[in-house]
Amino acid sequence: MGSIQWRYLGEDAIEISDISSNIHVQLGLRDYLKGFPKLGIASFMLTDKTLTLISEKYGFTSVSHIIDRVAAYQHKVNENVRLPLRIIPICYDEAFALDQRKLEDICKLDYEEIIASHLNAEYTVAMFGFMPGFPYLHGLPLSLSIPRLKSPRKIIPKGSVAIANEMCGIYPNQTPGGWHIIGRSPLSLFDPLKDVRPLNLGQRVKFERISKKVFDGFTLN
Amino acid sequence: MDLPLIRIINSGNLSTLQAVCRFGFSDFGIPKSGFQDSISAQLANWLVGNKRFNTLIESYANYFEFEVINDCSMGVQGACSEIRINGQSVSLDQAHHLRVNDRIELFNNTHGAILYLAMAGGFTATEVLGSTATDIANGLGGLNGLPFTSKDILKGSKFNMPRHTRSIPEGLSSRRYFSKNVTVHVIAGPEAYLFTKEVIDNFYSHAFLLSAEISRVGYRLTGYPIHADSYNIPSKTVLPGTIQIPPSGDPIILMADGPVTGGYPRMGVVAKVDQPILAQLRSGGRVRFLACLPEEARLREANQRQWIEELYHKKTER
Repeated sequence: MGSIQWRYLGEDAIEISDISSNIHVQLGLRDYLKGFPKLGIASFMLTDKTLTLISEKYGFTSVSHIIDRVAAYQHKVNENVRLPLRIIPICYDEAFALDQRKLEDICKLDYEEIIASHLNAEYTVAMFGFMPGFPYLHGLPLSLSIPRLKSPRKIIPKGSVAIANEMCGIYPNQTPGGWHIIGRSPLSLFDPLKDVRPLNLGQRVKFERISKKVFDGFTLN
Repeated sequence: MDLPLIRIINSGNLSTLQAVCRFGFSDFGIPKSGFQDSISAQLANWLVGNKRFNTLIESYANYFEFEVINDCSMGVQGACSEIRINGQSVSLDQAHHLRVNDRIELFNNTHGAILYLAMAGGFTATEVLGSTATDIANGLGGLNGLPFTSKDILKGSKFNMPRHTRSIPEGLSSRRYFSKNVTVHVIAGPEAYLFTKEVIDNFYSHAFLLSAEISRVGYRLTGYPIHADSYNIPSKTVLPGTIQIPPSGDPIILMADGPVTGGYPRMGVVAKVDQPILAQLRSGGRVRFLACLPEEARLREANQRQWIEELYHKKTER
């Protein structure tokens, strides 16, 4: 990988930064390192161009060995082994699109144009964070790329689909939050007693528009 | 078989069931949770012959009161200055056998904040993703994912009366590290470069005040605002102990239930060995930071782990 940028995050973790923004390169590096269990890496976190390695209970065996492995990693993109496309239903009804007006003003588009643009894009699950099951989806069209709300909302309803900067996200549960809400999905993204990981890192995502009636049918089930 | 063990009469503040942390799901956004002060918790479990990470009560109560429903054996460590059984003061740092209808009162007049109460055999709690630890923010584990309240009944397993009553060896009680003024070691964080040398020098030479904003998610410090050159960074991984500097300048230290990512500059991370000391600071107390290298932090943590493991492996008292 050439010269490696890395820093400590406490005594139990190190961060490899400035790796490719391509999620497949990031996952490739993660999976490559998983092939060396003797390095003492217990878990991995992917965030913006950064891979965080968290050590096992007794620390890393040798940080310099880890860095050597990272440097030796050569990515061969195999686009054929992509995860299956995940279709996420979304309802853009004004009862759910809480920031409809603001979005129209900031993007200088009418809502049907905003919806068309949001539906047309294909997204990639780039990371999870903020709260359990909250996916950060890359691939938001530039025409919808807007800053966060000036002051966060105290209550964002469960399932709200929201956008901020160049990302789209879905709130798996009710929470305070600062992204503009574009619609709502009836899909459950975090149910620890059933499907632990309904979405996976690197997975491709497309949204599919549903009516309020169909949405209401979903939530009854 | 689960038996009802105790009925809470006065639960005090932020009382939850905690246990070994929920490890391995941070890449899906799930916090670790678990003990805020793992030393006191392990000592409490040891007192009653439990495994180190058995499910026990963690509480920020200054006064905690309960009634015994079935005979049990209790170990208390952490922030407790007096134990009364049916109105009679009994010794701290020792296991106590409790009988049906006993009324137990725990008082905290120490400089510590968090009490741990273990019962022989451990408490029964909902296991979610490999851990019974309560995560209040996400409603996972413990007693329905919530702090418990007065009138709640906690269950546990039927215990066998241990042959010996354990006492914490001289000098090992968790109260020894409680203070109004604490110093904790900090490993420089990934965004330390966003601060000028002068700001960093100030960060490591001034005492910060612990505000009233303390929770299992984070502790907010005040009294000496710290400012970064830039706050425009993407969300990155944070761990318990991470010191974040938000634009207000008042540092936030993430605790056991903290989120897995955060978008504020990470000035540093409190060394694991000192996280119990920080967790036990009461609001109004002062904390100073001492820069340390990861190797040193790991060595000090290994020493700490060693004396706990030695205590657990001593055969004489079994």
